[in-house]
Amino acid sequence: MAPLLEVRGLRVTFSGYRGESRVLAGVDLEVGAGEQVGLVGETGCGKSVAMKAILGLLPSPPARVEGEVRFRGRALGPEELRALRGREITMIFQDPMASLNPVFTIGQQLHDVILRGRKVPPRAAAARARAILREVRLPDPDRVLRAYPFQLSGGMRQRVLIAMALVNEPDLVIADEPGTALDVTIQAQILLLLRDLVERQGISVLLISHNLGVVRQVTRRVCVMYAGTIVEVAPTAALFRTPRHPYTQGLLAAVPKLTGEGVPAGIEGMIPDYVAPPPGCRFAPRCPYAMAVCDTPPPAIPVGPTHQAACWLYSSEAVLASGQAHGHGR
Amino acid sequence: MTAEPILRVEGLVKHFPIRRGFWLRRVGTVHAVNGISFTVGRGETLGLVGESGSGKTTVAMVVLGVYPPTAGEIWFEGQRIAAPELRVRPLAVRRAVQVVFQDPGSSLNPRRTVFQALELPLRLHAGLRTRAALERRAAELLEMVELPPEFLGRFPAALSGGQRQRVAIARALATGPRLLVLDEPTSALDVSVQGKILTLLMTLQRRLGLTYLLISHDLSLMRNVATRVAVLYLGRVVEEGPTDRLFAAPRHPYTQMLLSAVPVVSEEEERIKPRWEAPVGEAPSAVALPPGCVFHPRCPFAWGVCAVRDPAAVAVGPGHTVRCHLYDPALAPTRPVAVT
Repeated sequence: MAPLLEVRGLRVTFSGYRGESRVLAGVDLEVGAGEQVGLVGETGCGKSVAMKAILGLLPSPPARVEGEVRFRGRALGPEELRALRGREITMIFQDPMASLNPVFTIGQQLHDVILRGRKVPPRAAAARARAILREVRLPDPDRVLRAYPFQLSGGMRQRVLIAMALVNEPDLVIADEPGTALDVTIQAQILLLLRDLVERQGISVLLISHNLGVVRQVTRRVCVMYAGTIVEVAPTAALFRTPRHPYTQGLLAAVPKLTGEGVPAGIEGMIPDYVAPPPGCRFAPRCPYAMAVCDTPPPAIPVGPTHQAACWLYSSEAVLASGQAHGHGR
Repeated sequence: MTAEPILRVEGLVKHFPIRRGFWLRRVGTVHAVNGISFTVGRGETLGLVGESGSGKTTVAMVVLGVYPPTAGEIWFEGQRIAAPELRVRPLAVRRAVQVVFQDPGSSLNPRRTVFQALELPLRLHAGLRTRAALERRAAELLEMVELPPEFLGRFPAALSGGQRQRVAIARALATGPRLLVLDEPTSALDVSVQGKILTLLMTLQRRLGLTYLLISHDLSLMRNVATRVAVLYLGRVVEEGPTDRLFAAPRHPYTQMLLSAVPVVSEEEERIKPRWEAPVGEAPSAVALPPGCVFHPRCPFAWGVCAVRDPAAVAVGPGHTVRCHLYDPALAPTRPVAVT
């Protein structure tokens, strides 16, 4: 069966005064029906650019988007995307205050979203709005419908955004850093709610986050992104138990642990300049295991049944050719 | 602790008036800090942890002398440095107590070079006058934060987030402080950079004998950096103890709830988290505090007395105190359910 969302060789280039900035260098991504997938990476790794490119939200120029985005096996052009957005594919953005219009009530905004889904009589729309607010466990839906965004707390606004994303019963929800702006006790409630609702309704999720812990809580499969490339794809449990790509290993080691293992060391160096990225593996300049072969872009190499790492360490020929010992899984 | 603590905060209260209308009539009060006491020993790192609205930054601001407390006092090295009637802080104290803020993007002036950022504290507090002496000292400061001297001529915009935070640390060190207030020093940074800055701060602490008051919402960070931790909720310290003890056996229901909500990256961490279904509710507004224990509206163990009486601090281990009626033996008979 074809995956619900399939991204192949996605390249995004921005032209600026310093030259071409090659942000995405061929990103492959799949989200199966009813699957929750995480896209994790640090600031500037291109995860938000990837999301916008998939949704067709990058203004062109300056962006040049190449590659293929298929939804239910159909290639998507700008027209198809416009028809899908807000109906079959919906979004939850990071900052609830910025994604809600401050001068309309929640009821008016939710109503517009419902009508974008399908034409229903006002009475039915109002009933649907109340029902969805109850589903995201907002107390007193009638008060929330009459409220303006500023009258709600951050947690309530995030719940409203989840309601808006789910009200038209989409097939895919793309969530960009949900709950990041919130306190941990509120964030935990929001993530549990999101997970419950999508699992119950069989909705696919592409969760974009910089927070490894959040991704671990919500998703079944994780794609790790570094400098515009997907460096590792694995089932969530496998990725956190046995990370294979040196970047993933470094990233996981850099997270302070609740078990108290001391101050983590972090990763040496900085992300590369996208105008002049390294010729091969983009992580090579910071990688403790870098070899001569790393000047060639590594393919995604299987390191487990459903686990791939884009790293030459896992290609037996390359390692033999370089004649170097390596110590992955430090 | 044998010697006099370097910092002693006693019964600190800070309320902010809410004013409305043309006459700026007082229409309410934000109860940001409601009676907080703690001490910090020399060379120690005390972590103040809490969510937004817990008052952790307000405590830091009063310690720094940004505004006077509404009630209570602060002693630094045996000297009273903050009290409601104290308006001016001696230069020597300001020199000794410095701060590193969360976002170096906004705490550094974008129109000033790194040298200019370091120059002012050096002129004012270190008494350096000549350009040569200033440059030499500024370069030394950069070396302490592991930046090359070429950075002196750069503007903050040309630096990465981690480099900017290093400059902010160098600026704080320029006056030769003994106490550093670190207000979310790594929250704005990526996790791969965070470790580098924390390692630097730990190295500097050892080398220069600094004392840290670390403010953060990040419990995983606290676990690895602080020697003692105070958990704040709505302007009160609900639990305080040595880091390993507090994390191994959190006693206050709020501490347990907070710990259970931390997103972690391994199964070992998952195992040490307290078992909670899910956190409930949101912190009420600091304008209208709940009566009794401020946490009782969200507490699953709350019973009659919790809505009426504010709990006093109870010792539950060496240096480990908790403000919760659950641990008051005198109230045990009134409790409807057993505690797990």
